[in-house]
Amino acid sequence: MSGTPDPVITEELRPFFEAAAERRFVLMRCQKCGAWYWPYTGCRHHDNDPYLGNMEWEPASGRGKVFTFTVAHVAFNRAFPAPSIYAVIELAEGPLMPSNIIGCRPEDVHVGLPVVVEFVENSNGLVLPKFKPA
Amino acid sequence: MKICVVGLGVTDVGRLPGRSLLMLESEAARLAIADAGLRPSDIDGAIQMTSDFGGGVQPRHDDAFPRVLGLPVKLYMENVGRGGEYAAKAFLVARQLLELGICKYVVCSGARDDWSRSRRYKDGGRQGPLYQYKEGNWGALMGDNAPSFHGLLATRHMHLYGTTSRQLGHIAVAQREWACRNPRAAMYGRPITIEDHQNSPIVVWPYHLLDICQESDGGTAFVVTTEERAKDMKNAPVYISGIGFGEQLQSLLEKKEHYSQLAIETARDAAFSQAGIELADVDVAQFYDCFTAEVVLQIEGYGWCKVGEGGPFVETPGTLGPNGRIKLNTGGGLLSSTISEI
Repeated sequence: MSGTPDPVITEELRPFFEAAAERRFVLMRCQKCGAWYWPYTGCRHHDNDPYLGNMEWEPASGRGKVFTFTVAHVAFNRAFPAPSIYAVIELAEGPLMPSNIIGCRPEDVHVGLPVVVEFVENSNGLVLPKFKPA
Repeated sequence: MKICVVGLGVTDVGRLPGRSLLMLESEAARLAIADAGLRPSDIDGAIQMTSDFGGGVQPRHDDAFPRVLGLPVKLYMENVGRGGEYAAKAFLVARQLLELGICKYVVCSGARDDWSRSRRYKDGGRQGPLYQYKEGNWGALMGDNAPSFHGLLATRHMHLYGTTSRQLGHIAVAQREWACRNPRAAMYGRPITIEDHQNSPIVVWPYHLLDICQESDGGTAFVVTTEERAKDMKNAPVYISGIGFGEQLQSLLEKKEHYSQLAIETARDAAFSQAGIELADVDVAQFYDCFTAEVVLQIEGYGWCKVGEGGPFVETPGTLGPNGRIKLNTGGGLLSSTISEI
């Protein structure tokens, strides 16, 4: 048993993973005011919009900066060998997205580090957006 | 109407292999009912305060501690909250049941089996001191776990305000001093120094081993009733003078400040105004201390110091510990006593 968590993908998040499988990075965007979100949500700027009525997944830059991070020195799960970096990325469009930083030595990661998306297929066959130094 | 606690039950805590969550809940409830001077037949409401950890624990509304103890309850409410906030939510529900006259005596019981559980998960490629969810939301897919998630807050505070690991160590040391006065604490008789904290292995940077709470099995329960009924009972009642809430997690992806502040203001304002007190009136505080930085964030949130100044504040001599002016987590807390707390 690998210990890799099986993903729980809601219907609303499925388009995001389908895009990721094609190596496309998308975020949810309000079609009224252009505000960006991740993950799916109603837009904060318009009260009482119907169920995701004005929201669409749109291509985004895949760029951002490290907002905060931790470095696991213990492999609690064999699927995630240590050391591994878990971070929150402040995307260029504004939303925050938790992910792994890859291709970066633990001693080199810092808050504010510019990063860019890199799609990685995990052992479940699921393609996930991770980030590497830009 | 005032409500109060009239009985407390705490099981053995620590390493209790072979005891299920259900039996730990039942034992804690039994102790609380006995401590209140009541009989099981007096209990007409029951509230469960046990986390659904996601690793296969199912809600057990058809097989719960009222069945084990034979409690003639009119209502059993399972999983009334989430880790660390059960007691506050249980008081809310209990208060409503008592105020509406639905129940006379409500027993609230919760248990954890973290130590036993992490041993079981070792065989699945997942190892202690933490287990991983088998199914994952977003974070779990990236290897997120308790210290990595909570560490995000510590790192952010360090970045914004220059807080240091050494300063966080003062939380660990102060609580260990308290634990050394509590014979039931896991770390009783094992004092530590700042150097011990700094020399302990880094588990998930920025957290050293001694920034991380205990891992234990155990159950905790209490009986709640009205002020009126409590007058004739065995124990002096402990009044619940105020309850308040703030929500940090729900807004974490949108409110960036919630990576370095815990949304305490609304909780504090509600609880303090109901009780008619100010911070200066507080003699003792018991904070949720899963990791050291959370304690610093709570000290800031309640206003003992300004936001961002918690690091220098906690390392100032005479602030924390049994000889300090702030009496905080006086049993040793989750960090040095036990994580059976609810």
